[in-house]
Amino acid sequence: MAFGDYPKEYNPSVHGPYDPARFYGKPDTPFGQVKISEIGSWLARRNKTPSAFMGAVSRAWWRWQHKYVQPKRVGMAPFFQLLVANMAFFYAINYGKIKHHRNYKYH
Amino acid sequence: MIINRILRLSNSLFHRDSLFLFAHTQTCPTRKRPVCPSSGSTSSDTPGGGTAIKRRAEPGKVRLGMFPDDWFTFFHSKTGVSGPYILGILLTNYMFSKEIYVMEHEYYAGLSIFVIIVGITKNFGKDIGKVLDSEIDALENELNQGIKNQLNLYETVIKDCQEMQKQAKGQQMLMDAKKENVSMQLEAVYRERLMQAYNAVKGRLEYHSKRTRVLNRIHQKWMLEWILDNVRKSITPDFEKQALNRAIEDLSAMAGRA
Repeated sequence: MAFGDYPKEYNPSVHGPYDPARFYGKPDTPFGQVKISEIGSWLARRNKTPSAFMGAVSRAWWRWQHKYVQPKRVGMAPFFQLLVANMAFFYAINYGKIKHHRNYKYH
Repeated sequence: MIINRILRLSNSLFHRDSLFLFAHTQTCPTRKRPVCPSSGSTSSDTPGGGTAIKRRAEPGKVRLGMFPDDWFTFFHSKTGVSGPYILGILLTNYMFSKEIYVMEHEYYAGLSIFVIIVGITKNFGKDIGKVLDSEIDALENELNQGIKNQLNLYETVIKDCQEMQKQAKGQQMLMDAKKENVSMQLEAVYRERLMQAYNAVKGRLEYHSKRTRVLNRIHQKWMLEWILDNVRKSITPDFEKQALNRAIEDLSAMAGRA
């Protein structure tokens, strides 16, 4: 299994053209409908290989793209979202350094 | 040849070599290969058959420029309309007051940039959007126009091929008409000659009948003459006297009766 291959469960004659935002494995309950008590078993059923993680990240990225970047008429929303996400991420990884620039000692 | 007609028709629009691929002949038939891998199963029997990804026309709705609308409506049932906004205000208040978000020099630079960006988006956003939308529409129309042009081209080719088929059929009909013509002429000549033969035969038969009639008449005439001659010769004076006497006796008998 090399990089950039189609998922193993994808079958062109059955699924049609490839949709990168779609999960082609065995269908399971969506995460929004999993009850709190079932979370353990739900997580246990997941595929925890690195390629599965990459697949999940890639599908999430494509789903976001399908919704905000690929439509015919998009606004500034994707740029702002990416900007703010970038800002938050870099603030988080630099927090140790920024902590020392506080203006007040007691909050 | 059909291929030459096709090539001549689309001289201006296509390269000559690519058209050889489109011409369907008996030795090199075009194979109907589907464009999408799944277009073999376009019916709804197979699951997912024909489900191409359609590009949405409008993006997901956002509030405040970047927050998805679903986040706000998700809490409507629990907290009402103002719930998410209150959450936002409280969160930012907490981050600023506890100085988790430090207002250092980078923050003030970012704030200035934020003000500029919001100003530009609010004032010029719609106009820029309109310009970009019109460009996208022009591109889409161009692509669709290309498809339409090709379809029209093929329709023209089809029509011309059908015309040529009709002309070929017309040629066949022409040949049939010519054959009919020739056969009619033959019939006419045949009847003419038949009439000639009939007339010739009739003439000869009439000649024979006339000849026999003439001969019969001549024979009759000569026979009569000969008979009368012989009879006149056989009348002797003796016989004449007897005939006269008998006649006188008959006359006197008749006169006596009357």
